[in-house]
Amino acid sequence: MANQRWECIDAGSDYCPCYLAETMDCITCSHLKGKEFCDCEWTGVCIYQAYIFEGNKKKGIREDIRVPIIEAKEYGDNVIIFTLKVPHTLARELKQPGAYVFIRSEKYNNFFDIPISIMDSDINRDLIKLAVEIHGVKTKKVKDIKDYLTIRGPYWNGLLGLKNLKQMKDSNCLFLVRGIAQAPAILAINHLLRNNNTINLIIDKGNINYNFMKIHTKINELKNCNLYEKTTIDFINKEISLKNYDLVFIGGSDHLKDTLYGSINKLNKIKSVITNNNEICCGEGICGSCTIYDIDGMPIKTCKSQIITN
Amino acid sequence: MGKPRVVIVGGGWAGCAAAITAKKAGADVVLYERTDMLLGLGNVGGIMRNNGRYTAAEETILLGANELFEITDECSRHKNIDFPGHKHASLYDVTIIEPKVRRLLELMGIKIYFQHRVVDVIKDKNKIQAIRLQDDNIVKGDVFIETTGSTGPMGNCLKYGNGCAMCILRCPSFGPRVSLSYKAGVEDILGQRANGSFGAFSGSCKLNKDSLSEEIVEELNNKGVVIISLPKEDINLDKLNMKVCQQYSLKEYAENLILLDTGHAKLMAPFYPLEKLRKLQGLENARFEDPYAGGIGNSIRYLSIAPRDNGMKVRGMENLLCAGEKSGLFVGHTEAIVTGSLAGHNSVRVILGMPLLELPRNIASGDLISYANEEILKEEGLKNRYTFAGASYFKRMKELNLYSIDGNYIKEKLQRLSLLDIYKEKLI
Repeated sequence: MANQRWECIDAGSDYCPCYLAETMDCITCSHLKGKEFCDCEWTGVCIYQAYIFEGNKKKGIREDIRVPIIEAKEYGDNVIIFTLKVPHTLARELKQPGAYVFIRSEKYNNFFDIPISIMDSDINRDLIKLAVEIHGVKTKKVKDIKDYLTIRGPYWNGLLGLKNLKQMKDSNCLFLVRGIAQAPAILAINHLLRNNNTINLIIDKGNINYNFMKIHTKINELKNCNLYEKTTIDFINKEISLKNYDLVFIGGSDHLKDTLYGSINKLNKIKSVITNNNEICCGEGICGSCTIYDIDGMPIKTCKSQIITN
Repeated sequence: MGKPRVVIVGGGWAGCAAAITAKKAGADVVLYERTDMLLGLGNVGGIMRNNGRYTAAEETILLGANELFEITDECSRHKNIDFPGHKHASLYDVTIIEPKVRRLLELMGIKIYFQHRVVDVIKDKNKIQAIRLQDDNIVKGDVFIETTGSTGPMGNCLKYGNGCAMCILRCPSFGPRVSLSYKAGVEDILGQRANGSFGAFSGSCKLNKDSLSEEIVEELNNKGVVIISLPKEDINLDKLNMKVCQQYSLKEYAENLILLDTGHAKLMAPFYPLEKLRKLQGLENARFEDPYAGGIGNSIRYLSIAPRDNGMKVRGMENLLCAGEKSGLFVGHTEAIVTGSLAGHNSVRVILGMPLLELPRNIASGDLISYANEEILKEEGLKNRYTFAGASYFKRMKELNLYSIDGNYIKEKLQRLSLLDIYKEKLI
């Protein structure tokens, strides 16, 4: 008897069934992981049925596309915000909290794919905005590109706890956001605002030393600070005690998340959304780089799986 | 402290019957149903009181669970009709019965939660503490009755059948059935077909009456049954082996198209290619009402039966009972009501620590429950179906003198056994 389960973010989408169905490693369908009988909790159209209808094959896969860079704006030494012109459908599909794409220079092969969260998607003009922090092999190779990028998407599992986020209506939400995690926070905030939620933001500019929440959302921060400092932790503790929060969003490293949960007990009682910080490499549940292990020791492909707990 | 709470999962005939007897025995009863309607496959069935079902219905009424049979009798479009292999059947109108059952349960104070799909159990050793709903809410209870049936979901209907044919269970809309006994760690028993493959097709589909010729509709309305002989090239005896309802697996059903008037025109075949169907006189414009794709297939059943004792308690679990198809290779509404009524009554006995009621083998209901339990342990037994209405069990009923349509005879017998109105006893 599990009190947690995993759902595939792609289940029922245009990309389901996928390679994992072909190899009998489907995250959702018991038949497509070699079992004899139905044992799933998926409530959409049956994945097994879709697979058989496709002629025991996966559906079409996400392909690389070449898109023009409309703008590449540098913020300080190590952040670039790209504005890209993309097909209309892709812009629409990426206007989801947790959406991300892979980007790379046209000159390199897919070893250089970087998963980057969507910060904003304008479906009237078919423009998406991505914030890239330059700090490793792959990001250094896109730093100076001004004309075209190769991108692949849509992917949707950039945030964990999406079900909590999508259910939230007329509620109070607390955002604790550091550094480049401002980018996925923006899509999440704009989604929550559309559902009449109130958002309080505590922001730590972190290594990128820049606050672009102000430009891309309509909210003002409660506090601009260092999230690791004791005074900030005390402030958050007090904030949670005073107000009834229904949702907390933690955008930052796993170290930050562990620090916050370790020092603020009350956080455990609030529904949460956290950034998916695992090393995402293919986004398709194939390469294994994003694997974590659940409480039963089962490997979980976090590029596609959402944990559902009770 | 409030009254002990009985939680019923699944609102088909068995679940409704269990809710009623549990309520009558004094419990606080809540019923969780995955879809937006009660009765499940009872919304497309309708055949009552044929052959030995008459005896079983009378027995259950005399045991004190009269309500549901009163409704099926009241809603019958035809009473006391005969069709091949079957005598004195009643056909209830499937288009009017569900709201009546719903109102009855509500009037009795049974709280029904529609569109609440149960997906897991929370247990401590062999005792279920609570069930978990799809929306992650937890429902606690003192005793639980699983009446989730054994049909579907879609992946099973595909692997063991011809795919989802869009039946009344509407899995794509309301989500898959979950075997709770399996979630509690009790392995399911699986029914087999004659060739050893798992599951069986539901045995009938329904045609929209308005799509049939005036002559057929008139005959259906007047007599309740229409028999159309099939051209030789369309006779398919193999179809008889696939279906659930062995009581209708007779040669007549392969050589003829048999239609019964249950509000829809019930076609006694698991599925029938539309093109072929429309070649028959009067059926030129026919279309399916249930399953919507009755031209290609039907739902697959018997993939999830819980092992149980004759008091309907699931083996290995302290406070889980089962009824209906979940409790054996049973076919039919009557069988569901008979087993459900017993499970509901016994759920209260479980709470009180009383010995469970087992129906004696000298009445048909008791014998069916015990006999099916013995047979399910045998390899051949998994290929049989158990129904008062026909096939091997009705033969057995006649041999053992368990079949009677004499109400007084049945009443005297139950009186002798001190079982009259036992389901009306308030235990709490």
